[in-house]
Amino acid sequence: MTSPKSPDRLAGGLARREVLLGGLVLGLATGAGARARVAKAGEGATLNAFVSIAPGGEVVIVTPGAEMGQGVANGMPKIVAEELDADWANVKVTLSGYAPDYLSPVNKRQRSANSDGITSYYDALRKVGATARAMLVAAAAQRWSIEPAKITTREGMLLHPDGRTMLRYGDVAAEAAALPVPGTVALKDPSAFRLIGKDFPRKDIAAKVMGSAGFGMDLDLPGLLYAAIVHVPVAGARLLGFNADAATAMPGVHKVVQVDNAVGVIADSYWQAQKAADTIELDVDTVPLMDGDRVRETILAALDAPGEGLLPFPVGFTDGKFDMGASSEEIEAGLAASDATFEAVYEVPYLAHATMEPLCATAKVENGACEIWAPTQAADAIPPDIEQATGIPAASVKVNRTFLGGGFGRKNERDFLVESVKLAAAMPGRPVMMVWSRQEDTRHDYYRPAFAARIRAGLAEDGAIAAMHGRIAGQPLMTTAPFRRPGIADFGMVGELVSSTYPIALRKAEAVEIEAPLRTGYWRSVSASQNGFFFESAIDELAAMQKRDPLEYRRALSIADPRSLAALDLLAEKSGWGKEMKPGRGMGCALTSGWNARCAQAIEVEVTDTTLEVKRIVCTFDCGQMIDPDNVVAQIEGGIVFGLSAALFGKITVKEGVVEQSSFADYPVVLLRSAPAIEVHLIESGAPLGGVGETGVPAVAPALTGAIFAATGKRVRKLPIVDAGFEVAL
Amino acid sequence: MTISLKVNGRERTVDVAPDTPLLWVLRDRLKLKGTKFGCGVGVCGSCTVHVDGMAVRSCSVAVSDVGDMAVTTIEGLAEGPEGTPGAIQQAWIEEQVPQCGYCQPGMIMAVAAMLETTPNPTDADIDDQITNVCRCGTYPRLRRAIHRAAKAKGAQA
Ligand code: FES
Ligand code: FES
Repeated sequence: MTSPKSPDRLAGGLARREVLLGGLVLGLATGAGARARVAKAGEGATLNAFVSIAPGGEVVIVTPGAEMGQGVANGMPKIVAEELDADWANVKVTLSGYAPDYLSPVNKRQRSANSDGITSYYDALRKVGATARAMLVAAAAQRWSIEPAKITTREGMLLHPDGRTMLRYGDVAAEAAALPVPGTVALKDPSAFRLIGKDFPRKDIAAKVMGSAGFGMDLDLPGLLYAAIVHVPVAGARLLGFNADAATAMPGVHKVVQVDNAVGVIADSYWQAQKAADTIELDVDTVPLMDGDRVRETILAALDAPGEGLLPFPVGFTDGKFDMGASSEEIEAGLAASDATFEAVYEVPYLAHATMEPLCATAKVENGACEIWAPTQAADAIPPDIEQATGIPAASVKVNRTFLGGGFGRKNERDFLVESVKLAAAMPGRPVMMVWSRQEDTRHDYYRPAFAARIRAGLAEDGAIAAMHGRIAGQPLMTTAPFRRPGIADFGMVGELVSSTYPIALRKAEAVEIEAPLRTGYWRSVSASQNGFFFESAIDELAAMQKRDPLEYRRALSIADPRSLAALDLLAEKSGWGKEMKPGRGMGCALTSGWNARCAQAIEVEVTDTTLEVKRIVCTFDCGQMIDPDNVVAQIEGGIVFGLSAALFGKITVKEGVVEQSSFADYPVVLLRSAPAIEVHLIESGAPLGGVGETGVPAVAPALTGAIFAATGKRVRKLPIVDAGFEVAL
Repeated sequence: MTISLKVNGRERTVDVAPDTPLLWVLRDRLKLKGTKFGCGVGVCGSCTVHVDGMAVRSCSVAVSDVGDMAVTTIEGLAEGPEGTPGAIQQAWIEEQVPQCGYCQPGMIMAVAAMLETTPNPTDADIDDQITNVCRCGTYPRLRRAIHRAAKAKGAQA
């Protein structure tokens, strides 16, 4: 473990090890030559935990974030490089493991979740870059015996005021590293940014198209063994025992190990391990078997008769206090006094994350310590979890991160890391790489729960929403349990059920929690993944009730928020909103406002008999200041496809206690042929930084069901859409 | 069982059970880690390689069935001894296609095989022939990159 007291010695060490072990270096051409070159660069002078500079001038910057596709292995180092005034072409990026130096000063965490990678590190990374720059300037000032203030920097060069003399960063890096770290540093005026807000190719992309980027399974270590694992298939059941006679006798098998409710097989190769694991018979205790239909009935019943279990949820947070919204009496009075009232029930199913890379992790346990190499969104939470599960002291747990083949919230969980350490503990001194089969990955997820919600609203004469009451029922998220406040509903379930996007005079949100044995957790966009659909569908229905255009109605509701208005107006223009359409065609829209962003989408569909085709999705997006605008577009495109897969097909079902789906064959996602044309138009609003990774997801389902309504007059209130009798070409 | 294979132009010999999928021979025995495991049951395409020029999902082919057919992986697609990106890989870089990147080697191999038989694919050809999963949803860029690669290859020819 690195000591938190020696930040200035950290980055070079980490960088070197990662380069040598995993080849986790970005922005490389492939091949050993390039790798060796960077390994040498890592031996340069270390200016702080994030920056080291080689004598040749190559700058190595560590990203504190987990790179799962969202681009933090490019965006975060770019923020450092901006203030450092580095030559971006000469910057190499390395991935971080966990280290206290990499905790975000904003949330005191190191983990990639909640779309806050950039927002929670922006100020800190600027300071990191500016500090390193100040030290380089100070070193040059000593050499030249002049005032530091007289020196300017540009693209990795230090410029003498004489206009002729200059030094490269690499020339003085060693001297700079020995200087005291300045307490305060000046940051650039954003108008002087050369990198932030401008597009350059992402530094991880070349390695990803050459096949040389190191993901969780791509590590190779001396003496590496492989493990496959089978979990008790029945939700909520315990493993009583198992028969592994056949497995133990199979070639290459070293050991069969029970790990809590699962059995792992350790072998010389993954295939030997998996083949052996397939022969294991599990003895499982009898439990009441979970059945999807019964869970749905329970959820719907809870909505109607919550009994004692009704939990309130704040509708806002002002002056450091929760705003609990209107009381029941106020809401009922508000609804009774309204000109017109509305009520509808909406439903969504359980969803799996289905990351492209199945769960995997490598661990080595030796002398009471362990080292982990894994594609994980988590970092600081890992050592304490390992300590709790295995007794290995947190301080003796070293975490290295690889690239992630997708995360979407699943890889923020630590279950698979704990398993890998427990397996490795059976083979002390040998690294063991555990790989889950796709079936295990699909059946043992932390699912986005199934929910039902009833939205009630009362309208004033002019269409303004006088009162809105949202009640949601379903399983709460396990992930959020440590952050729960007694007597208050789960934010992962209720957040934005009665959205703050529009002004509503009287607002009330509440939840009823049911119990079911599936594990539940963060799923890209979390509560907005269901509540965006519930709330924006209700807005759409309110417009229809008044025979108003759904986009015009949202515009009228947004009149006090210039960012929403700008997003809607640009959406109307770019989508050709209101244009004449042939029969069977329709367009729907939605507006969401999470993560300090505005995301408006218009979706055009064609319905012929029962066949649904999504023709086109137009999105206008404002996340305030951007680091990599083209990557913002990519993230929104990806978020839209993710939301579209869920809206069209996404459904995890449970029968006799067992999750019925096992791969992309029965948990389908959008493919090239079912991906519509997607246009993303960015808005530069000048607002402060907002989140991006999750923001594209929530508007898709309501805009799509709005489009189906426009085309057919049929309102889909229950997802997925294929269950409403539409066929979608896969 | 000792099995001989021709991979990326080199003769290789491995000692594995004959039913071992080609995928795991490539990854764990030959240490060619560019070919990815996504599902193991032939539905995602992450493991796509070429066998005698045809796109094949290597998780679903037993190594003993490969015989003397030539296997090409993503590592074999780069051009020249320096390993510079091939035309398709270059198009991917220009369109900034990958997000997590996990599906992309398989995607690129599938497209490379398609462009051999369909050098100027229409959108409908692409829809028909490229059925790999990209969970990050890079499809809009993928489509652009395929057209760009086709053009670049056409210009080379
Ligand atoms: S891993 Fe071979 S098709 Fe999915
Ligand atoms: S880029 Fe992540 S799965 Fe395709």
